[in-house]
Amino acid sequence: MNMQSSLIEYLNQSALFWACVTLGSYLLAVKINSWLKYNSFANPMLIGAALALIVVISMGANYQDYMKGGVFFDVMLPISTVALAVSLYRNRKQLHASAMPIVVCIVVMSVFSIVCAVLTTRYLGGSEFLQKSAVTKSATSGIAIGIAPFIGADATLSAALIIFTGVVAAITLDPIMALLNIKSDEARGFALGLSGHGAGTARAFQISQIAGTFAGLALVLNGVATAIIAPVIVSMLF
Amino acid sequence: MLLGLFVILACQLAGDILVKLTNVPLPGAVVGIAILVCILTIKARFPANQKIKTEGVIEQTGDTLVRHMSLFFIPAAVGITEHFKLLKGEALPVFGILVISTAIILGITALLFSRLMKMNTRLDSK
Repeated sequence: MNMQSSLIEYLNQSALFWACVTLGSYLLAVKINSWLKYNSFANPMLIGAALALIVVISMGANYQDYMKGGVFFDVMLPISTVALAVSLYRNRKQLHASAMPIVVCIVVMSVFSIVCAVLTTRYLGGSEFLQKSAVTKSATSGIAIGIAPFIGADATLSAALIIFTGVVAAITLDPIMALLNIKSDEARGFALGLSGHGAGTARAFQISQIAGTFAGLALVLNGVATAIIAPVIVSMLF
Repeated sequence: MLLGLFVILACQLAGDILVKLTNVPLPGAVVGIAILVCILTIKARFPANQKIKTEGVIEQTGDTLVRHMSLFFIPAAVGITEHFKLLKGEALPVFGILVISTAIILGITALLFSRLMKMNTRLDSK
């Protein structure tokens, strides 16, 4: 009994253990996602975070313990965000051919989605803290976390909202597109990438390559646009 | 692979440094994206320079990093443990942010974008 609790104590303080938990949770989540035929509910980010969270709670550990190992992956988030430049560059011809719709849509919708998120939260009685953390919910994770300190939002609360936003966008796509009678793959993809970032883009690639390409463009450009305008809009709304 | 990683890391670092020096309220990663797009553009302009064939390497490493972005986001998401108490009292607004506003944004974007695309093809055909 004593040995067991000292082992748990040892593991809780071990960076290697928490790194293994993070990577293992992710790999298992990817596997579960493929078992469930890439269902949008079985989002690898959602399941991976949930699995890691279960380990943290069942080990009686706290977030500081977890981050000893989690930090290895945490530092990679902005770096993988910079790597989005590759897909932006690769699809430059698509971007050029549809420059007008893309630019207009990004400018209008990046502003609208911030205002919409804040006002929905406010109307439903959410605290100012929650309203500010909702600002970045449609931006890609790496950028959203970078914006948080500039607008007085909490990065981890924003993170949770971002994950669920992506999942909601992916699963509400079909009913909404049927309701609005939108059949174009470009429009479906673009809307998924803009509103649902990574999870939305994964869903778009299931529709078609072209939907995925437009989702990817919307994801990067909306992330950048949100970073630029969020501080301004937040200063106007609060 | 490591060379590609180095270039991407350096772009992120350069982005962070620029943000620090200019005091612009932007995440370093956003500036890093701009720098990396510039590098890829410049590289493509000089195909003759075969000594430094980094473009393919950057793209390969970049694709791998983007494909596994979910992994890098898990630590931030686990941080929700810090906010369980706060969220308990705010279930309704949280549900509202997630479902209502996401559905509105998704629908309006698709509507706007499909209209604009039709306008765009009409302009092109004229």
